[in-house]
Amino acid sequence: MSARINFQDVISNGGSLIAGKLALSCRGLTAFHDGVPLLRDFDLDLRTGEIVAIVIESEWGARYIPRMMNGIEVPEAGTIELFGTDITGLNERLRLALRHQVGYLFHNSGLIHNLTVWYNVALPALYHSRFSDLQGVSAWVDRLIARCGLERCRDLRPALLDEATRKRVALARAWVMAPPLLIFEDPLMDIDVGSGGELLDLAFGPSASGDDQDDPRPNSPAVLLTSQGLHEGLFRHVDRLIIVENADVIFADDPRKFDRRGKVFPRDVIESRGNELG
Amino acid sequence: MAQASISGTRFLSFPGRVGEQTRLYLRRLSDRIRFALQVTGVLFRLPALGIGYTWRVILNQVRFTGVQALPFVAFVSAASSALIVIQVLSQASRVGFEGIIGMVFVSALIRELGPILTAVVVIGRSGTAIAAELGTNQVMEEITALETMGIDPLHYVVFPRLVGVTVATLCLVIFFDAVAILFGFLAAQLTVSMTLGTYLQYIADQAALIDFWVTGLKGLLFGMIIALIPSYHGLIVTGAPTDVPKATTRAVVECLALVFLVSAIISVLFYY
Repeated sequence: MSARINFQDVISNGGSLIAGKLALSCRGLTAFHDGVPLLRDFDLDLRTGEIVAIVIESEWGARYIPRMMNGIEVPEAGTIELFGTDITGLNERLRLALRHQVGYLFHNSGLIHNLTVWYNVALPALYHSRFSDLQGVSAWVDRLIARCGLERCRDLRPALLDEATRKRVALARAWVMAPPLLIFEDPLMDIDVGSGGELLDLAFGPSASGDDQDDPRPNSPAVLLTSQGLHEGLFRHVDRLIIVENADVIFADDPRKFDRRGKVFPRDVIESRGNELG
Repeated sequence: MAQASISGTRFLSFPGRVGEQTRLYLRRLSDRIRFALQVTGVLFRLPALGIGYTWRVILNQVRFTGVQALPFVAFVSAASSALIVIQVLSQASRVGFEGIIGMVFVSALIRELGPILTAVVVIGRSGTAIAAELGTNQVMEEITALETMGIDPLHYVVFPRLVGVTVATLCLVIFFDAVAILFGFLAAQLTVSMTLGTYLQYIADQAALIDFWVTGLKGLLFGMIIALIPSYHGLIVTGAPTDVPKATTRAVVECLALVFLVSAIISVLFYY
């Protein structure tokens, strides 16, 4: 059962995460969609301070894998441990209770359409703190909104925003609980290459002011993201690149060691055509 | 899965088809009961979950379901009570039996028609809105997004609607009865020039305390049905936006059937 969370503790813990702590671990993960294998015997260890990207051709795979890691979907076989707890055997209520430690960015932003941008960002913090620290939450959300450049649309509803801006709102929402683990579900989906690069720079680039003390982003979280294509931004920011082809891992190493020649993902073709047209 | 079993029944004998359909209905019934228990289970978790942030949703629901429905409920109540009083008194006054109005009013309007007509209005306005809203939320993956944030949709989405609709329906049933008594008198005055004292005396002679308890009980149960069934149908929408109107239709039909069934069961339990 989820209990009320002290929001000031959340913020201070998020700022003092210790790099190298195991946040997510999975062993022998096997998943299918409509009989088509998405992953076969997949192993992963993800530690705080590490950014890992899984590139998979399948659109469904790019959504399904992060959802499995967060306990929304259940794999056919294998185990997933979030912060040392095996979530595959937990019931829904216990899985819910673990998720305030995970910031999650949806492929379609997943914003609540009858709430303004400000409330969308604030929602997890308001819910988990049971509205007990309105002033603290309010100041924190204002900082995140400023960090993501959303001041001018803070009182608008998501339907009035373009997809790239919605993704920035979703990113601010993923940060609001200063989580030790961030999962980004195909964040580059439905946005152009330039906006995708900006989103990745915003998420993983150096702090805007150059002073880490002023940066409201969680310090050294573990990050797992999926993508359907090899975006340039991934090579700039990611520590480890995992490429899945026909449900098997064909590459898992530093992205700088990956030879892109001869390897083209459908999403890359769409992006390069978009660049030519643009 | 359910579709496969229905199409499979073509090859079954008649008793086999009946058995298959019964099994299917029982499974649907158990799904709804399980959902209702899960939502009401939120009540027991409230000390841990808190209610502060759901107040806004509850108040919005009471405003939409209750306050905004007042004019229409008043209209239905005034029209139905006036029609019944005029029909009864125009016949009864010929044989000097005006006193029957009290019995007809209490047994027909207060005990039965009041809660049922109120429920029909609430189903039409709020039941459809809840099913459509939650169905759209489901299609837009907003419910899944809530779950990824560790927010329990039963607590954040369904529970405030359950409380709001139940409170609003109970209040509307009481409001319906009050308006019915008022417009019943106006109709009686116009039809047979009955005085207010006589009219109220006829009603008071027939009404017992249990009538108000039973009416209140019906209001509470109807409110719960109208919140839970559309929420259930909204939340089981999967896939396409075209499923949303289908879910809404199913919710309305089930709500109506359940309201009449529950009303009949309560009346039999308390009056026969």
